[in-house]
Amino acid sequence: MLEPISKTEWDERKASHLLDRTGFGATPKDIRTSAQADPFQLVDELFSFQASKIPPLVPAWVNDPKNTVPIRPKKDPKLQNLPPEELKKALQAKRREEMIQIAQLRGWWIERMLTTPWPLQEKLTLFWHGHFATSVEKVKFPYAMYVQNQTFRRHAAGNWEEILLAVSKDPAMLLYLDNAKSFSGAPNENYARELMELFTLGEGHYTETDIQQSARAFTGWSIDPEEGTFLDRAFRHDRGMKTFMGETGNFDGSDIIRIILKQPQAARFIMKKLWTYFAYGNPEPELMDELAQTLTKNSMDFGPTLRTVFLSKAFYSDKAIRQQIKSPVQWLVGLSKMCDSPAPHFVIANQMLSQLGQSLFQPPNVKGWDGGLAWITEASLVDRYRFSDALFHGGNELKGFLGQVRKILQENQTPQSPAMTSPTMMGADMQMSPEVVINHLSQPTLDPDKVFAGMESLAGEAIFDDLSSRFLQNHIRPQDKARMLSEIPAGKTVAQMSHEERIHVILSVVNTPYFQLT
Amino acid sequence: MNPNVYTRRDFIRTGMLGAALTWSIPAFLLKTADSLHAASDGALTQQPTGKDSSILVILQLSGGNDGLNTVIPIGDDDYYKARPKIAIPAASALKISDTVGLHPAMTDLQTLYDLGNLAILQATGYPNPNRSHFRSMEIWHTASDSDRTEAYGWLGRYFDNACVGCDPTVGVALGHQAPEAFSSHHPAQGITIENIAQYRLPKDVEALYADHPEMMDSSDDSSSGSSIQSLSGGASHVGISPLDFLERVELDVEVSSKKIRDINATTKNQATYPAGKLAQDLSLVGRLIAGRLPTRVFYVSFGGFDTHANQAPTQNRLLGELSSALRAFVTDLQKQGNFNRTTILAFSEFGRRVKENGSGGTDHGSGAPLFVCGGGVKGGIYGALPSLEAKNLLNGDVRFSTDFRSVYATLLEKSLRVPSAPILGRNFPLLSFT
Repeated sequence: MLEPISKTEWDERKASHLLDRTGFGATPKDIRTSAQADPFQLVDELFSFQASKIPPLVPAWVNDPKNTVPIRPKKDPKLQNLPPEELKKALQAKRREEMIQIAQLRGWWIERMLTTPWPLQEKLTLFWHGHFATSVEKVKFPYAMYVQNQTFRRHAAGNWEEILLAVSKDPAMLLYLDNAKSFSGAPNENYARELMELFTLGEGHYTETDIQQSARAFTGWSIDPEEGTFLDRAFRHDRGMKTFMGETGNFDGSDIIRIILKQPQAARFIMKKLWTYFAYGNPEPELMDELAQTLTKNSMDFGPTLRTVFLSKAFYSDKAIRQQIKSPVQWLVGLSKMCDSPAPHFVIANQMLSQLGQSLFQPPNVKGWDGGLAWITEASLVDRYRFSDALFHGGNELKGFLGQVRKILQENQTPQSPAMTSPTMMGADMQMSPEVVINHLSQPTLDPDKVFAGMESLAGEAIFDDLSSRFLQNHIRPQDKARMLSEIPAGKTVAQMSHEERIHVILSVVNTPYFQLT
Repeated sequence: MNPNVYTRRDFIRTGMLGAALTWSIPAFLLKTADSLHAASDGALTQQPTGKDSSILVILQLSGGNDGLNTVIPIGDDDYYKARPKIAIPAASALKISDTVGLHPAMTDLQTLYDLGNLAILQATGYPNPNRSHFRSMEIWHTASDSDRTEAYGWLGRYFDNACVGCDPTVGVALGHQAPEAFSSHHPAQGITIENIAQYRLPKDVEALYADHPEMMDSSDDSSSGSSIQSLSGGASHVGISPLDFLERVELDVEVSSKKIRDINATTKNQATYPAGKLAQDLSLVGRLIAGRLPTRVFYVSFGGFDTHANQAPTQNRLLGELSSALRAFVTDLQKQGNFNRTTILAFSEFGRRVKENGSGGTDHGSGAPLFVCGGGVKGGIYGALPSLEAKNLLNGDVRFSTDFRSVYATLLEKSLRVPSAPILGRNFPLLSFT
């Protein structure tokens, strides 16, 4: 089922599917260009980030050394002698600063997803974030979340063993699953269990003894409390013999990873998850076999394996195309992209994603986001509709998301406070009055005229056809098409419609079940 | 499309059995309600509706609450030996019997116990316990044996068996994601909501429904290509295409949103709730019950119990919040006169290891106490905590003595008054707490 597609069958439908699934949607122009291109070259270009030397732009606070180390109230000379009340205040201020840092980090990532020349790198980074789910709620150290995110990006289409090693030594993960606190004699099983259950093998492919033995092997992998970086504390490591999956030795974490990857289940497990993420759920048994063989044949390198996936017939089958529910991130970034528009201000984007159930750097638990139909509830569907409406209209609906910003502006008018409200995200706009800033931030980010650019003379069904190919790219049931058509003002061209009518026509296509599919 | 061809779903929507007809159902559907009546297919039990029917509130404590530090075996030396750092001293536990004390943060729960409204079911669990959060939670949600998987949730099967034809608000879950327990064969039973004040379709879409009543028809004549099954997790409707699923969710909103917003805006709680997300959720449930939403099952989750490290402050905060929120909820229901028809079940996916670990926490375990509270509940401690002597433990964990499916069966039979075997797959012994 992984045999390659033929170049002669390459068309707009397939090109749009490729761009959606390996990225975050595309403009009609991108789709047309890609449909003209050679799919094999196109897929090669998706992976060109692996050769790129361009250093990524990062949020300003990341480069400030005071933010790159964890806070230690009991050891910090500035904090340790403070009276309790003042210490509490200092810690609260620190926590607020961290909250802002994480908010900026989310905004930075969303911006990247929307504007990067390599959407696949971000799509894979998001995959790894969901796979090795780690939440700032417990880690409480934004810089570690940033470091982990860059690790995912660096290894985005890398080697499975290298990824697992990097993650096992990743400070945020060491904090999140408590391995930083695991030592000989009293191992903490949290990481060992999730490593096998959620990251590599899946339930039923290891024993409780395997967990206990591998937890011993991981003892000592910890973090330097002052630097916040990985530290192998040899004196905490359990040097005894361990028997793990039939092998015995004085194993450490890297041995455990090596032994796990020898299990045939290891390739199947991760390929099933990747296939589900990129193509469709419940892959057929014979497809699973082929996927696992492909990864094994490629020495556990995801790059060439995924290249095969994105060129396979199964990837473009009817089971795949327009049969996946967009994640909130896909929905929001894709909507901005399809409207040729910038991302909403990060405070607004973060609030929207949080309410839709996908707060970046804060997955609900170590299993990550369930995805699929679980993205949609009565509450979240309503919110998607409301949010697209708000992004076109701006105003009060968006102001509702800015309460926190207003509070900070009112309480904290100091120039050195972090640039939570800065439209440019990196600078500071604290000199402006709160009202001016809030009004600025609550401007609409989606503009109907950008959507309708070049279509001004269209009317009636031609408008529907254009919007449908921009936003839906799907077969629309006749009754649904009739309904959307009926929302287009009769006898008017786009040029003759009012601003509000244009928005209404776009929303009648965007606020539909169809637009939730990719 | 032929407007006279009504699907089973239209029939479900109109709720032929009375109560749901008072809803804001479009007139064209009301007109057909009578003719649809004849189309009723055989639900197991005719659904009792109306204001006096019983209500189940499920309170999920996610992460694996440490049962031994919640309901404390104050007379057991093995407990204190296994937990030199984090055991709760007998002197600080809230004593409810010679051998059992509650966590000191749970004074409000102690009050409920003293009032006789709280049953504590010791060492609840299931055979061959699974120590994965996700698998164990799935077992609790689907009521499966630990070596089997079930396609649907236990409450979803209750909806399938006893509530076909009901309004979608027969089940109301609060949160971002529908609980797997709600997963059912028949779609559109149970809704998942959050942020009630803004629970409505945009005016444009509402207007669409008004202009296009045929949208209320969501038959399965899918032309959207092949169906795929849901991905893991969450409530799912196996075999339904994503597009059909989305249309059903949209329809659920149209049918339920106005009523819920109205209740939320016009109904007041009869008790003062403490701060916190759990209290906020329970106060909303309190208002929805007071406003006579025809809901049989509410589902509320409260997380953070996965205390592998530095357990004491975290559990202290969580149990305090649980206890005070629950007390306020009970007071609210009592003053409304709805406590007698309400039963609250609080459970966690597993208890934690008897022996503490080196990080001031506890690792995943098995059997744990469970709470049932309600006007019809006979308070007391049910079942005994098995010996914690090392040789009696199951890989270091508390052996279960009460199967949680006996608790479900009892709630189904005695509170919701439906036969439990068709829902749980077989008969489980009923318990005497209600």
